[in-house]
Amino acid sequence: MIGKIFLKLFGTMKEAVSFEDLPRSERIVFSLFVLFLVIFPWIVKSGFARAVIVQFLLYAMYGISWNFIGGYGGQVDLGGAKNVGFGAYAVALMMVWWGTPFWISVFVGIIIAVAESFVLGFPLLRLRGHYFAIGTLCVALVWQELFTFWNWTGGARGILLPIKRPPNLLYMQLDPIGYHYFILFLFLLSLFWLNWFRKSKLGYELRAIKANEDAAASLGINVLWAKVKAYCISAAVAALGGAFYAVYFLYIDPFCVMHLDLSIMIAMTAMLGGAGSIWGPIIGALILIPLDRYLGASLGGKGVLGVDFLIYASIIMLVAAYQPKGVWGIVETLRKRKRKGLYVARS
Amino acid sequence: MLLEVKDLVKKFGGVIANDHVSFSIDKGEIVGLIGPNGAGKTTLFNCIAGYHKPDSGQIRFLNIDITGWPPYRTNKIGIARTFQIVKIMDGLTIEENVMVGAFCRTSSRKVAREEAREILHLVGLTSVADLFPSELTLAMQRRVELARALATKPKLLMLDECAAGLNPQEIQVFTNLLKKIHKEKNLTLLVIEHVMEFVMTISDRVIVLASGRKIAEGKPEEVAHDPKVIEAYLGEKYARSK
Repeated sequence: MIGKIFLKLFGTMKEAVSFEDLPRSERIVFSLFVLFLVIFPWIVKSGFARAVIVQFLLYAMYGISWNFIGGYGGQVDLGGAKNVGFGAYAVALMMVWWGTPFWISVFVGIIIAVAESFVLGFPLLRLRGHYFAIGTLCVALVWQELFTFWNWTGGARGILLPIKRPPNLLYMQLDPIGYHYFILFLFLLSLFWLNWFRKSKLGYELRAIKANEDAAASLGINVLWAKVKAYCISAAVAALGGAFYAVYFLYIDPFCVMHLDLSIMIAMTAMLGGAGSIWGPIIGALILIPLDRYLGASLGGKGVLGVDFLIYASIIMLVAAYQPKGVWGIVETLRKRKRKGLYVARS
Repeated sequence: MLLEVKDLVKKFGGVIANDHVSFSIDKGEIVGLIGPNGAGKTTLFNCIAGYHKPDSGQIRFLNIDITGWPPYRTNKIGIARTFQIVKIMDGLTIEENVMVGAFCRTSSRKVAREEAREILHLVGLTSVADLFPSELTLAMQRRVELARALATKPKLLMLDECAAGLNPQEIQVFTNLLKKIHKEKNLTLLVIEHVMEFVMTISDRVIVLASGRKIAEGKPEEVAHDPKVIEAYLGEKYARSK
């Protein structure tokens, strides 16, 4: 019995780290990319660049979390920030109140986020299309307001986490290199989870639902239940990212972990890169985060405020208008075009 | 008896789409469901498959009362359907489309893929398995829908106007394909059709609906000469003059 469970677990893990069904070129690029991330802290000494990479990995993780329900499931979730908030607040509050180690509070945060998504998922996921997007937006706004006005959460002032001498593995307060490897680990973990999901029965069900709910239901798929499951997985990954946020910045408030801007940013990261593809969130974060940070730092420092937002918004508009499937969509269109000739030959 | 429909009533506001319809289907039969436009054929399909909730009446499948079950449950118990207007799942390749159907009975990707390949071979779509449905012709899209439905391993397969929009040659190919599948998979078929040459050649028995009521039932050639059926299709005058 235990052996069987172990075997199944092993099979799942093997599935999660295997990218064998993808083209060889993609696997090579991905391997080089991971290699680059592993050696990055040793070749780049700039504190700013290191911070940008950490942010990039964090946002890629958020994007991955969005991809479960928004990308593969086609349910545009505009309330991703609430899950980030649950993760961050659970870690911060439990440390302040009871001195709970990170490794316990992170699970509490994930459980809270999943439970909330489970309960609210049933009414929310009955909504289709834009109505679902509006519904999630409203829920996230309510949480944002509650966390701003509640006293026990620190309100708008936010919470400062008690600082320990790094490296402290119990509370995960590390040096910059430590943080880099920690977020890299979490990022890869969520990427592997997405990779497993993509190939699992649930993944196929979600893609079928995205394509056509009626057709999916005619193939024995319990549409609502499948969506709720994906919504909960999405919440878990986002909460994990939120927990990292808390121990990395050591300060959280509703504006940085619960805010509407973050919700939009999460969805944008995945959509810009390519919703519903495994590389989409990474590409999205790779474009958005360095752009955002470097422009913000270089122009904002000179007193030119708002230009970064202009450029940033233009990119989003251009993508929405000309390439709704994001950057990865371009690659797929090119591939499709290559095959078109084949079809004529075949029929 | 595989499927039994008793006194089924479905109203949309003041319109009675199905008015006390009763019939039954035995295992292994091919039953045609015909009738003029707006006769309530598709409504009847949707009631059986769970897309509509009947106002009254009963639907029994394998002696289990399935009245008002949601679509995914009717599918799990063994009823698969195709749609009048093809509902293709773009974004998934043909093979993946069929795999989604196969996932109904298994959770292993490997098994699902093997079954999908088998069915694609059966319906003759192997050569286009890695294309997307939107890249295919309508005739082929209908075959994808058929393959997808077959992958859920149904006992009863319901086809909603599967020959609509196809040219005579494509209809011929499709008819032969259905006959082959019926034999190989030991299926029971319920077929809505407007194309008479298709439904008359394939069906063992034909049920005729008009204005929501069942007006005739029997062998194809009997039904074709039934004055009530001729009246429903061509008007009262024509029926009397004959």
